Amino acid sequence: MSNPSEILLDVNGLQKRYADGTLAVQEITLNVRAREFVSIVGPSGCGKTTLLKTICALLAPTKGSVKLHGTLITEPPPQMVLVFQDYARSLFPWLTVTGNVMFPLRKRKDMTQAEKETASQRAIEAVGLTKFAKHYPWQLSGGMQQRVAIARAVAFRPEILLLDEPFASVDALTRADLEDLTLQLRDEFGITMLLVTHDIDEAVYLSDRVFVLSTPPSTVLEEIPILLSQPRDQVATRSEPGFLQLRNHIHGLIGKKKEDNSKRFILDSPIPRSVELEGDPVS
Amino acid sequence: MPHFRWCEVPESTLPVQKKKSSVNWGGYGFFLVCVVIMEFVARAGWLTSYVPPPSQIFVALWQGLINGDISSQIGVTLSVYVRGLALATVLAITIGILMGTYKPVFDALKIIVEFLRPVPSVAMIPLAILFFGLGATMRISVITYAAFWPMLINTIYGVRAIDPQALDVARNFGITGYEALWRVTLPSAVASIATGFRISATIALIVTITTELIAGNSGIGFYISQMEQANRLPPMYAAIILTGILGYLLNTLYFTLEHKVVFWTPAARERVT
Amino acid sequence: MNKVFNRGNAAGIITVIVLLLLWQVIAMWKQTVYVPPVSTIFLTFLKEWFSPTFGQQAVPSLYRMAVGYFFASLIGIAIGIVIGSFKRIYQLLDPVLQFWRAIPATAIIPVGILLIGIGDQMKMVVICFGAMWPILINTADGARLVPTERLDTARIFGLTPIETLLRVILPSATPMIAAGMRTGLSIAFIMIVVSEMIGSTDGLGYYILQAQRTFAIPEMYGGILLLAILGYLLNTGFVWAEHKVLAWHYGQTARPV
Repeated sequence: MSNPSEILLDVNGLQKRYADGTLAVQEITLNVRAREFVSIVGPSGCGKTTLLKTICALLAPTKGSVKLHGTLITEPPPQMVLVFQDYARSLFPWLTVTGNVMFPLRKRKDMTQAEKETASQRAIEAVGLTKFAKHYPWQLSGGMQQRVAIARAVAFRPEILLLDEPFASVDALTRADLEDLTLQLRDEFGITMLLVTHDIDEAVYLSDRVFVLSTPPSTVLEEIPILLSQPRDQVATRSEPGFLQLRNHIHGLIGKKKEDNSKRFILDSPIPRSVELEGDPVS
Repeated sequence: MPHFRWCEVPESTLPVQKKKSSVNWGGYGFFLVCVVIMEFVARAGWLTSYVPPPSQIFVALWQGLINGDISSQIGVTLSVYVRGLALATVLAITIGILMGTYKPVFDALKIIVEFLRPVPSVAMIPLAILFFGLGATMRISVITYAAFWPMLINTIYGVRAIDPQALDVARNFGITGYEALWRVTLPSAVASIATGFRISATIALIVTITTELIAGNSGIGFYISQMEQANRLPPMYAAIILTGILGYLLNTLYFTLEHKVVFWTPAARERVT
Repeated sequence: MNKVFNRGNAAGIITVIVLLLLWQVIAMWKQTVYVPPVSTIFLTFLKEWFSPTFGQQAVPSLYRMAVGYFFASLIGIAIGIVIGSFKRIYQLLDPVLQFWRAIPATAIIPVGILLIGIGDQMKMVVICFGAMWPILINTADGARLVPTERLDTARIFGLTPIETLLRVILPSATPMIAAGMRTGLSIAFIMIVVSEMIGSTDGLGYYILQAQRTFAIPEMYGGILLLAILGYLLNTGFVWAEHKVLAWHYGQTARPV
């Protein structure tokens, strides 16, 4: 286990350009400490998924580096697991929940079969799906499927979990449950979390630190430490004055940049004046 | 009606458009390389004498087309093909709409369809010869039988899969019965029917050639078997390749037609030819 | 097979019986050799096919078809998976594949006869050639359409390319492979009949054509009837097996997620 204040993940000057020349990520520098919960917030379309995939070494960066424990990574390392936004496409429909969760363990030679089964059972329990262990993923609701994906990641015992807008495709109530689940998992298994989201409230609620991204091509606008009380509570934390302050601050950061790039409608007729989309009062 | 103008949207927020060269040079190159290799291998005599070099085949094809040996047969084949396909289309769409719309008709004919459908049309050839001899009629009957089923199934499916709301809306406007059939049911089913037509047309060509092979007295298939018996190999291979070319051209034609006819369905919009 | 005798099926069965009766009446009334009575056909059918003839004619056909189909599936799936998994290979081979696929399999039979003769091997090879294409192409499509998230997940969990191929791509592609195999089965069925009609001394295709030539008309109808039954059984059997193996796929597509 790492020293709590040691830097686990170090991303330096990361740039990613697509094959056709478009710049997805211009320059990102950030770091994550062991057992920390770090969020990356940014407007939609600013290359957040690309960023996570590059950090995970699924894509090769055009410039810059990603280091885990000080070592450069070029292939997806076993200490890192990425949980996708679209759970339906990443889970395996021909396996049961248990099958899915045990799938990544098949390669592990350091565990006996019994140990693997226990590990997967424990992971399924941790996400609260013990009753559905023999079900197929498509028999479950969206939120439950995402839990399966998370259980699968947790059973693999990574040091750091990358989450790509994992709760975006899920309804608000389920989202609250899943948010608390990730906090629980961090406490129970000691896994570091790097979450990417466009939901500012979620980022502030969950994190120890938040990195705010600009519109594409993205850079880090600001690094914000979140000094709210622990443990987090959906009602209490969100009512703290500090919460609102932080949230509005981030909102302002993203909103400011957004203004330059907003799409505008102009109604040609019959109303002979322009109406701006972003909620400005009609003159 | 007010209409909207989009103002300038900076490039970086637009979805990424990948510009790829759409011509598969590598693939065609590989194809040519294979042909060249075959040429050398055949000329060197490493291959059995039953497989002539591609150049000879190509020459035979060219000559056959010019001097009419092959081109006349193309006309015969296509004539029989079109007639068989047309008859199958008319029958299949009519019966299909009836079966799809009226449950009693469906129930009555369902078992017959289930039983006759898996019978390969070629098994009907002896039967057809019995009744019609060896001429064009025999072939047309077999083609019709073969092409009938895919279109029937697709028509039934298309008619039955109609959004019930569409019919409700029509009824609201006072459109019922025969008119509803013509103006609501049929357009919705057209997508499925078009796909069925394409499948049937493909099958129809294969069955045409096959019938000519087995028991024809004219047509490309007959030409192939004639050349085989006369041991004239380059024209035989030429004709075989010609059937492939014919099938490919017709298939492209049908795909284009299908797209034009059913451009509004999501499936057609997504599809890349 | 539940509810076989519900109202809907009753109408169908009645229709069939009515048609058969009609046939019988017309046959007896017209007395032409072309349309023997249903009773004659039925009796001939029983006489012919519950006798050694079945072993002499039907079994060789089924055997050849089985072997040809087996190899068609093996080759089609093996090549298809590789082609579908590596985009460059697919692009490279695409025109060649399209070329071979466009040629009607039955047109290859004369070539087969020249090269291999008219024995069992020719039929098996020709069946394999014909049935292979839909299987190969559907497998390749199935492999190409594996969601990238699944492939990424495999990489994240450290699977080697071979493991990814066998444990992720192949299972993901099985629905499409099954569709291809089903088409391949009907093609195999057609190919065996045609190849036996063109170049054979036994088999169902030969039997039916020969019956027609020698004016053994009830036998001809009987043979066609047998083919119909076999075709139906093969098709139903395949669908049943497919639903068993792909229970997860049908469960998934039945539920809107």
